[in-house]
Order: sequence, then C-alpha cells, then structure tokens
Amino acid sequence: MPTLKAEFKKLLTIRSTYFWILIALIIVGIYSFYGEGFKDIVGFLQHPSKEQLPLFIAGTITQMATFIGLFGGIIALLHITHEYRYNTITYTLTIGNSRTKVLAAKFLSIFGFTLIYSVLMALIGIGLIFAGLHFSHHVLPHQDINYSTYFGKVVFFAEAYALVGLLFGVLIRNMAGSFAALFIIPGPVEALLSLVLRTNSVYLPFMALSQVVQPPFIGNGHPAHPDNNSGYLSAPKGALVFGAYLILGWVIAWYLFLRRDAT
Amino acid sequence: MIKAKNLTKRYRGRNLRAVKTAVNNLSFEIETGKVTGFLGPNGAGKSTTMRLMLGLDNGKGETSYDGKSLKSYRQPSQVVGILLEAKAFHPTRTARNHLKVLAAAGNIPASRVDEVLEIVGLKDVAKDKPGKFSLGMSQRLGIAAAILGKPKYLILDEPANGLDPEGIAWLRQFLRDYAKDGNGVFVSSHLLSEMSQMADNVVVIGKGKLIADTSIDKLLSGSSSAVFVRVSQLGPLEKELEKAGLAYEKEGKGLLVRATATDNVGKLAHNAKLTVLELASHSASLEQAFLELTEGAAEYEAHKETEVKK
Repeated sequence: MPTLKAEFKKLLTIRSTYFWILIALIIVGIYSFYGEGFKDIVGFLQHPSKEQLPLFIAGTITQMATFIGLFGGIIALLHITHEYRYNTITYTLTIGNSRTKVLAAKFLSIFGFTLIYSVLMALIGIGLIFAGLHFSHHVLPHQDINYSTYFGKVVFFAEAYALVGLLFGVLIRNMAGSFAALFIIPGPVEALLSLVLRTNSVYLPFMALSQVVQPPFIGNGHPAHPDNNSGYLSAPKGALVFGAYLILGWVIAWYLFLRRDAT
Repeated sequence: MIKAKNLTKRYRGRNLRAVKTAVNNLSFEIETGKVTGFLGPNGAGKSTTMRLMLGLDNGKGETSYDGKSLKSYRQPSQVVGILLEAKAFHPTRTARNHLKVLAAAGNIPASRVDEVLEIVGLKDVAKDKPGKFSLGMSQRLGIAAAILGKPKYLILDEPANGLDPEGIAWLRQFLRDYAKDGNGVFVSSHLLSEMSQMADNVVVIGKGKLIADTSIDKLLSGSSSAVFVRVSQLGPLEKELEKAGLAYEKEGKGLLVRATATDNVGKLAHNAKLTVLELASHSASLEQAFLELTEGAAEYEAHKETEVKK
C-alpha cells in the first residue's frame, strides 16, 4: 500500500503529467467542440441521412479514444522512464523490499489514473460536442446509442495504451526508445507487417486493439456485422487478442524487471 | 553490522565476448558506531560495490544487515539510507515533494520531510524545483533523502562532491555524530584529507579487489613515514645517512629521510658534529598511504603530454 501511494504521488507531482493532460484536453476539445460539434466537418448534420445519424456521436467518441489513449500512453511511459533517466529508480527499489511489489504498484497506479483520466476526458469530449452544436445552432436529432458501451470502449482503449506505454518503458527504460516504440510499432511496423499478413493482420496487437473502438459502419446501406467480414474482428475478439499480447508482454517485463540491473 | 561477503560483478563490455570483472570476490564489514571510508581509484568498482550491497545490481555474493538480507526487512528505509548520485531526483518535482514521495514509499510520516529539510539546510528552498539546484544543494537533498527513515546505516557515494568548505565541515560533523549515535556510515570519497578526518575505518579496493580493510590509524602507521632535517652543512650528513643505509632526497634547504624516526636522524647529525636547525617528523598522509596501496591498481592512468607524443 505505501508503494502504491508513492506511485500515485509520483504521477501527480510532476509537471509533465499535467502538460500531457492539457495537450490531450486541447486536442480532444478542438476535435469535439470545433471539428465535430461546431463545424460538423463530416457533414452529417448538413445532409442527414437516417442511417448515418447514429454514427455521429459513436464515431466521435471512438475517434476521441485514439487521442485519449495516446496521451495516456505517453504519461504512463514517462512514469517509468523518468525513474531511469533521473535515477530515482535507486530509491524506488531500495525503499521497497520487493521489485514485484514496485512493478505491481506502478501497474495499478497507471491503471487507476488512466481510468479516471479517460472517463473525465470522454465526458468532457462529449460535453464539448454538445457545446459546439449549441453554439453553431445545429440540432442533433435523437441518437440511439448505448453510451456505457462506448465509454467502456474508450476506457479500454486508453487503459490498453497506458499499459502498453508503461510496458515499453519497463522493457526499454530509455525515454527516446520507448517513445519511438509507442509511435512506430502501432503505426509503420504493423502497417508493414499487414502487407505480408493481409487479412490476418487483424491479429497484430494494435490492429486488434483498433477493432475494439471501430464505430459501427455502413455497408450497402446496412450496418455490417464485423465478424462476417474477413479482415475484421468483433470488439470482444479484438480485446481478447490484444489482451493476450499484453499479458505476454507483461510477463516478459516482470521477468526482466526482477533480473536486470537498475540502471 | 553490515557484512558484505564475496561480492562479485561481471559484465560484458561492448565487445560481447569479453567479460569484465568490476567487483571480484569482495568481502568486508561495516561496524556500527563508526564511519567507514571506501576508497579506490576511478573505475575500481566502488559504486558497483555499493549497488551490489543494495541489490540494485545483480551479481554474486550477499550482504547482510544485522544478519538479515535487506529484502527480509519490512521497511528497508529504516535499515539503510542511500545517496548514490547527487542528482537523483526529478527536476520539476519540488524538493519537498521529492521527499514526500520517498516518505510515502517508506511509510514514513510526512512531518519527517520538513525535519530533514531543516537538518540539511534546505528549508527555504523546499518548494523550489531541484532542477536548478547547485551540486552542493543537490547533495544536501540527497543526504536528506538518505536520513529520511532514520536508518541504522547510511551508504553514501561521494557525498562531499560539490559541497563548499562549510558544507564539507557540516557533513563531516554530521556523519561523525550520526555514527556516534550507534549507527553505521559507509562513505566513499575522493577527498582523502577529508576522509582522514571523517573515517574511523577504511576499505580500499583496486580493480574490484580488496586491498585493505583496516582502521585509518593502522593504515597510516603502516605507510612509510619520513623525517625532514635541516642542518648547518648538508654534505657530512649525507655521508652519515649513506653509511646508515637510509634513503633520502633533497627538499628545499634540507633533506627528507625516508623510513626512519627523528631520533635516528638527530643522532646521525650529532655524529657528524652538525648543528641541527630543523628536525621534523613527516607522518604519512592518507593520500600517500592510498597511493602506495593502490599503486598499479588504477583502471585509468593519465600520461604526460610528452609521453603521449612519443
């Protein structure tokens, strides 16, 4: 418990945590308030079609998850790489009597932080969409959307990115290297692999994760069921595939955290 | 008592095939109530040894604190306080918050934070970000972190680096007082004159191996002492010294006679019917003793520019 308390204190007593939250807020704010609510850049509201209307809020929420998750990942990554960069890891590991407890405390503190952070960001984001709509005098027709499902997806996505950010930090320990991994692996690396794997590329970790936050999409005028399409996974399947990678990664990270010199 | 037993650390260098031994089967003890100095040339393995003692580096051997490993204590921060690097803090986390984080991790009351800040003289800058602290201020913050849990033992790596003379004097007194209270202090330093005033015992290593584990007094008495003598005429005394088989060298207007006592040199001057103008014993300094002990054990040796050009 003292270790967990200390990890929360670490997270909340450095400038970078608030800096990245602010950046996330600005981006989510611009996207939700201006892009979607005020400007309606996709044009759903100017030319409303019955089938597309449900996509308005759902699509915006799932798109927001990307920004929320990415910055959550950065905060988590910095939480561990700062320890190595500034050598405070020497204190962390000598004050506690178990490296496993230290790693568990880091995991739980990031998990708890991201839970609150992602819910708040999603709430703010949705609130800003409606604020944008209000100021632009757009009228949003009734939305038949299960908010709890979409909140769950945002939280899952944000937690996934945060735990991956922390994982990269534990494995790589170097800040620049961890940042590179967080940006390159989900993007260019998986994109290149998908050229080889083709439809099976959905089983790559971040491709699978992206299936969790896929908005419902329209195919020939009808909402398509993801499992009926090759190259797509349903959200639960995507979550399971990603979860398997995450567990494997954390087992390796835990082993290395115990074994390696604290440098 | 801290007992370090058979500490060994090997690692692969850039050439992955070459295995380098940083610490080689090192054993020594640190007593309570005393300050134990830790000496060795650059690259001798002092910092690695300290990290091995704390379980920060994986290697062979074991270190016990009052007979138990550090991991077996419920609150290790009350057993050992550390300062391994002066700048080991996040630059934008205030000094007080830095210590509060450590206090929370060690289950230490937050009120102790202000106490230690006052002890080390950083109370006025408690709310400042330590990123802009001088090296001396950083060392003080590191010392505050080390004593936060009122630990029985302190392990400090070069704590005097960057401190001004007043700070060094304060540190010396502080560590001596800390040891007097029944605690053990293990401290490495390159400031040998400072160490000679601060430490009761000394552990000397070179190239990862133990060279000496003894008291400062024994270390100095075992080193070569010399006698400085100034007489009315140097020539006759030189002949007497040569007859007695004593090595000497000219120093200023007198002679520095190696490995002897003032009595002998006084008698020889009397035999030569010389007037003694000055006769003084030059006891070995810790620096001299250190250099004698670690001769050939330095990992990195400097050379004169002329030698390099050849």
